[in-house]
Amino acid sequence: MAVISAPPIAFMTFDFMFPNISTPSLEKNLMVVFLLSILTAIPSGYFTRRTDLAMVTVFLYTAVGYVLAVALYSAPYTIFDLEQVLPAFYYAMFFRFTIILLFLFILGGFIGTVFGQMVRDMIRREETALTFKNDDKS
Amino acid sequence: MAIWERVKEHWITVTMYLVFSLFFLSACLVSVNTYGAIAQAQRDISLENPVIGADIVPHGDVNISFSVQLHNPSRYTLHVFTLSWYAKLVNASSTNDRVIPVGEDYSGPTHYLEVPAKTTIDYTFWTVVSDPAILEKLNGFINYSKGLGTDYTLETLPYEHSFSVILMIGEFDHDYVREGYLNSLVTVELGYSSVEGIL
Repeated sequence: MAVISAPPIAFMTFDFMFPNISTPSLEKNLMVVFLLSILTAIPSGYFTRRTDLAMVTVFLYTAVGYVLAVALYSAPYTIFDLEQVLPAFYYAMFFRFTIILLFLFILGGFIGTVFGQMVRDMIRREETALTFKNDDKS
Repeated sequence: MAIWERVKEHWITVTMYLVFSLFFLSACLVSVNTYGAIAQAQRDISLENPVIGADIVPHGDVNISFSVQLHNPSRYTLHVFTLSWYAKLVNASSTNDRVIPVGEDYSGPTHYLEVPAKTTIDYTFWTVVSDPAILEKLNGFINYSKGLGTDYTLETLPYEHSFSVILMIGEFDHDYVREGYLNSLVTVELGYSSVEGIL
């Protein structure tokens, strides 16, 4: 689940760094980033019964996604074998710009996890109510 | 097996989850491909084959010319932001006219100057120096040099040319106020000087 939820985190981090060249672009809109991070965490709350385990999953996919974003940021001189395209402090700049996103990913992740569990519980209750209603009729 | 049973039980939500993840994974790959292409363009776009010339034309005037090729091997159209050429003769012996300007051209931001993808464009600039005042200064330099043992003509004078061009890559945004690095990412600055070579 950490691996499947990592790409949205990686893309949002990369897009925050380069909003003019990423496709599609969120244009550094922190509200959209926050809402997307809630959406990304909903499956982890939906599929995991234990809340603490779901929240650990949030930390895991945020870490995996951030590492993937660093790899994407390094692509010009790892994949394409080019010189650095930006001047000095290449990684320092990346961490300086994107550190605020980690807080949003974790906070949105916790909210999304709780929301996902609420959705799962609502669906289970409906299924149980329908099951008992069918039993009563029969 | 228990996981597979649960996946089959919630196949709609699992499918939506996988589609959501694959969408962002493909967005990551497209964005990284764009980033790599821009980085390659920054490295490969170059000026080539600078040629400077000076020829005598009728009435004893001199035609100063400069040409250079702009090589664009990238997949993006380059939009010329500014283009400038300046030619001068440096007369170190003179206190009043140390720099004798003989030609210049400047073009500011415009929609009309573009360099298509995977092409090489030739830029040629020329000017006919016919102003008697400037020709007098040039001939004065020739006579002064002759006294020092160096024979020059209007065609062989050591004119200094400088050329610079600022290009924008593709249609990417480049008007950020706070994040200047984003503007630099999609801007290519090239220059040539007859003294220092291609910059």
